Amino acid sequence: MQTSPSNSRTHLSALGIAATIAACMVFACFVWARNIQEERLHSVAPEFCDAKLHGVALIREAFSRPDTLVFLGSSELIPTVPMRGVDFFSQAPTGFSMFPVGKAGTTALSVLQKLGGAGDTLRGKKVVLSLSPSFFQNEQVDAKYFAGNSSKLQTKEFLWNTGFSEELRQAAAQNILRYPQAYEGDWMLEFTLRRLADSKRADRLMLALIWPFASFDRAVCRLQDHVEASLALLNASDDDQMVDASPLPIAKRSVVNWDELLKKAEAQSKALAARTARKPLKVIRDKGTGDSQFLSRLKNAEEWKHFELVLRLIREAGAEPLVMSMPLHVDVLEAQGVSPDARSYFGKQLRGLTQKYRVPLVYFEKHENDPVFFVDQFDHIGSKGWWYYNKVVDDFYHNRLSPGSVASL
Amino acid sequence: MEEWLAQHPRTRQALLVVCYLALILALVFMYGRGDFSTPPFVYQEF
Repeated sequence: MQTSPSNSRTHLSALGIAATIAACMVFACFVWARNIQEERLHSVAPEFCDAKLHGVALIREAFSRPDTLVFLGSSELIPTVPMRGVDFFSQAPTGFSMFPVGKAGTTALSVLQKLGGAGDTLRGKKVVLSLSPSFFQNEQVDAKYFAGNSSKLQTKEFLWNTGFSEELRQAAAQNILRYPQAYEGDWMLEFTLRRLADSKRADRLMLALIWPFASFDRAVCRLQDHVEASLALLNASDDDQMVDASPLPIAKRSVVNWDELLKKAEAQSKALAARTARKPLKVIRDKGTGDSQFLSRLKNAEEWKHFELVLRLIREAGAEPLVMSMPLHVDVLEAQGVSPDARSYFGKQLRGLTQKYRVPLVYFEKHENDPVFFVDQFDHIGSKGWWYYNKVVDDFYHNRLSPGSVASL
Repeated sequence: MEEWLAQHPRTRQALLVVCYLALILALVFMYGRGDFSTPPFVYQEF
């Protein structure tokens, strides 16, 4: 069976026309997705969907908006207690709204991926990092935590972004390679990680050779991400019946009475504590007997290394960060025989690292003994804790944060 | 049918375009959906 040249030409021209129409449809789809993201970004702010946490489109959109402050945290974002940041700022009472990113087990290596995926949109943008001290009390990062928070798309976007130094991307690749679940099933990602981690001359050559295909792969993934993100926004908008989260006009903004809100938050926290009727923990070990074990875990915690990579990335990206850390759970540590001296190592190490990268730090160490700062014993802050967080975040956004204002908290 | 199509080249061309377009769209729908799901994750302390 032979095909005549004119028949082949007919097929080729038909394929060409069809491909052009398909390309136009894809472009129209992209424009539609971008419009949805611009219009409805805030409907997904309180959600924990994959498109938000593991994609790049929504995080980049949030960073690109001057009226939105990206807040990277972990499980403290989940419990729906009164005064929770995302709810408190949902109507932008002081001119901005919060866009929290993170869920249970979002450790520093996942934060690194999310910020790396945001890429150039970070430049000059404010960003808040909320730290959970419990992540620093284990030598190894729980592989389940990282597996459940890792994103292949964010990792690829970060690793192929030459705006970040090769040393940073190499260090990130070496750390991510230790968690095979983060790249299994994606040969392109695994190849990139391995070549970057070694970074010998041959590795660089192979990366250069594969660059066109890797770029195409990421372009397809980004397009998918835009569509997924828009579908997530449409779903969230349907659920919320189109909550309008655009900032209130200046004339309608109320002056936030922080003192009044603190009283309210304290009352809410006490009421919640009374309902849960948590019994005080029994001291099972003498003071100081748990120090060596606690300090060994704290000093060797991998999380410090990952957190330092995050600080390096933020500095390279030219973002304006704020690091906030919850206090340690003193009642739990005292029950384990950990003395105040040993506990102070966490604050010292945190201050040392943030000072090294000139990043402002707000560490709520003074609230170690506050029984209602947290809602439980797992780094989940309650209404009172959120009041402090909201106050600091508001001061940070409006450039009112100073050593004096922090010292009073 | 083939004879009729041979006598109507424009219609043939249009049908071919529709066929190829359907093929491309089918491939996009089959393989084009993003998958951002993560491995099974159990948060022990929550």
